[in-house]
Amino acid sequence: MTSEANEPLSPSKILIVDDNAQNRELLVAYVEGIPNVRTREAANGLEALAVVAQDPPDLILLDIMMPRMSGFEVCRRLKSDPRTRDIPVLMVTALDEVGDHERAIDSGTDEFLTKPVDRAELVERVNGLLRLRRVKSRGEADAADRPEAR
Amino acid sequence: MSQNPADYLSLPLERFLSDVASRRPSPGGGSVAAAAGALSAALACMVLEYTAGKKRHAEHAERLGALLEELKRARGLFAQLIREDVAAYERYAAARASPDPAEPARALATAVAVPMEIAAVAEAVGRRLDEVKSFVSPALYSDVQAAGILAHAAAESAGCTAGGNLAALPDRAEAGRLEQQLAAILSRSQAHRDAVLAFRPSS
Repeated sequence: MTSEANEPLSPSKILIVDDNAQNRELLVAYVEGIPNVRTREAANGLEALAVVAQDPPDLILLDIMMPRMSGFEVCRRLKSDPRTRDIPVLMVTALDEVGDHERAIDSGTDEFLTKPVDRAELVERVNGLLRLRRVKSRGEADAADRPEAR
Repeated sequence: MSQNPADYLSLPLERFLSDVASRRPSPGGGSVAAAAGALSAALACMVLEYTAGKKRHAEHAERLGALLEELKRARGLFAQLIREDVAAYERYAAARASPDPAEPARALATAVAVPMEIAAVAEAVGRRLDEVKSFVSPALYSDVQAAGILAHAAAESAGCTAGGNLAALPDRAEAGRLEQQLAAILSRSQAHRDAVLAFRPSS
């Protein structure tokens, strides 16, 4: 755990994954209104996994319907990897079927939002997940700092 | 989805005070804690604005400039946290009626995490005041002290809000870990405040 993860004033990194450039642009505009947030974009699932491996974000906004690799599969891979499973994932999708909601939960997503995205709701969910992430990271850093029991 | 919380940053201070004083549960203690933190960070920014460009601190100019930027960020974060605290309360209050069975637990976790973040940001402001204290001229030192007191007040009062919500967490082991985390934040915060108050600046 880096000291940066334990520092409340360091910016939060959000990765926005959507194959539609206009959707990404809209989501970037929404979340960049939040103080202390930096965004990065990926246009498909494979690119997202590469970005996460290189520079793990604090939160991922993930579209479901993407070519080559669906958001469900991206989420499953992230949540099955111990290095990335604690990164919160907020799925954003045009789908609104009960089955899709269940598939999203099965894939391990932390929360789920349906398009068209309400800006205030998105900001509220993003902030909530970022706060939880901070608390968790701080707890891990504290545990790492504690001397091992003899 | 809860109703959008008021954007207190774009409203007169009187509106925030009236809403706090009204017979409504939010904005409550958490939002007030964040507002105290915002005042602390703003005051610390003012002190740094006067201090950072001084010739006698030229060799520390880069660090002082970085501290000023961080305190500006803290001020913005506190402003955001006022809104988040209101939203977290409203989400928690609405969660029982949600068709999503996981929503009450998520809403409670957020209602814990937001005041804990307020406490953490307040401690971070206190840490920066502790660092900057030896650079500040005596004429400005009362502002550093006021900022230090407010930062710790923000941390402690947010701690009370977090503690109340932690009591409702069904996972008592997790609650215990978070209580330890909170106690460590508050202990560091108090140490920063005490150091700022005990310091005597030289002209």
